[in-house]
Amino acid sequence: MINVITRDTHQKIYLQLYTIFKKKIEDGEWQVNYKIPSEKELCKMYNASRTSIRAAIGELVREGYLLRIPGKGTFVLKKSIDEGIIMTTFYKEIWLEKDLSFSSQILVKTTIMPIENLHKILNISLSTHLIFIKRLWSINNVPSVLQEIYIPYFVCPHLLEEDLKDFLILEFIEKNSAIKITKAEINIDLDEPSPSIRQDLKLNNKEKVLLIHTILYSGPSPVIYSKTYKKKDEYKLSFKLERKSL
Amino acid sequence: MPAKRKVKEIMIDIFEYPHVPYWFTLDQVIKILKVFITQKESPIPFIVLIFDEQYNLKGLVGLEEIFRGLEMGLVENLEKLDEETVNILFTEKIKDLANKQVHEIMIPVKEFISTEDTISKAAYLIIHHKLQVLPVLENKKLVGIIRLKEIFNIIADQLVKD
Repeated sequence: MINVITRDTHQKIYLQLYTIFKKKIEDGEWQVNYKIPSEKELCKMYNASRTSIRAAIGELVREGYLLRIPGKGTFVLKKSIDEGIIMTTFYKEIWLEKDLSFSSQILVKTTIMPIENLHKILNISLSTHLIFIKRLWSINNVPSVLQEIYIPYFVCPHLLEEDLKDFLILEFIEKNSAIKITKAEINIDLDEPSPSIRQDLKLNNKEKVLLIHTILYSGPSPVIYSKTYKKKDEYKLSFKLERKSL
Repeated sequence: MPAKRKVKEIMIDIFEYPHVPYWFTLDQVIKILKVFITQKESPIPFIVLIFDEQYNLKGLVGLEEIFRGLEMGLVENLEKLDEETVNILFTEKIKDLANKQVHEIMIPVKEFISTEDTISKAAYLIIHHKLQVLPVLENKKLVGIIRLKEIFNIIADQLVKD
């Protein structure tokens, strides 16, 4: 069914198109994986300019309803988006409570090749060298948090040469490369750590840890993957979110 | 005079080769090396560079060391190895044999050369210590590698010139 746009209202054309396209997705007329008509076809169908069509589709791509695949077309990705409340936060490399006095120690800073699924997470080839950093955060000299950080070598080669003891890695990368972090994807899980993690965090054999997987993106590209292991102690992980002023 | 040329003029980038830390297993190293070997322009010799926690080069493994490392799991004394025992390498049992850490089988790197050293010094070290590769340091930092191939090319160029 083709809904029509009207030029009699004050509502912008692209917003009308956005509403029409979104409804098609939500109603299932455009199902998941369906390739939507090309911009040219949509211009013709709705008698609208390419700019308006592009803006409407762009908004749906941004919201995650549609996915553009260069050379192939635009496809329906999701039927509905659970938007939640839009809030902002400062992304911090370490989420320990604000007033805690902690120290960090770089246990490992070396290069490795992608193993297990690292190449998939970072969207790199299996022959891409990675910088691997293992950092231990202690509070009152007691280990509390361990981080394993994987960064493709090409993202920031200088990282290997620097003494990172007094640097936050993220800060260093942003200052010393063209990389600007634009998105963070975070997953939290309970984990049974490996013997080497147990040793670093001084855990007993049965203790589990909180494992935070973080993928940081610069534009569409994942550039840093980290695994943060937090042991159960008297210190909390903490982060603050604020509602975005609309 | 070619012999007086500096090592830095002919060394190759260390990132031509795969890097792993010493605690990686043989299983992981074999999978990594397979990726490099199947590449169109994979550098010869087929080796993996082994580093420690602070990115210091500790050793290397090539195909021969990998085979030796696997075989060491089959018999106590490699001299007792026979064709039948080697057959095991071509079965599922190889997964158990590839469990050991790579530092157990690597060739430790003992000889280094500086970027400012001469090619003749590099040639001497490679030939007389029977090295597959010679690591090149600059301010104590690993910056490159010299292989027999680089030395051979210079010698061959002399012949071509004549």
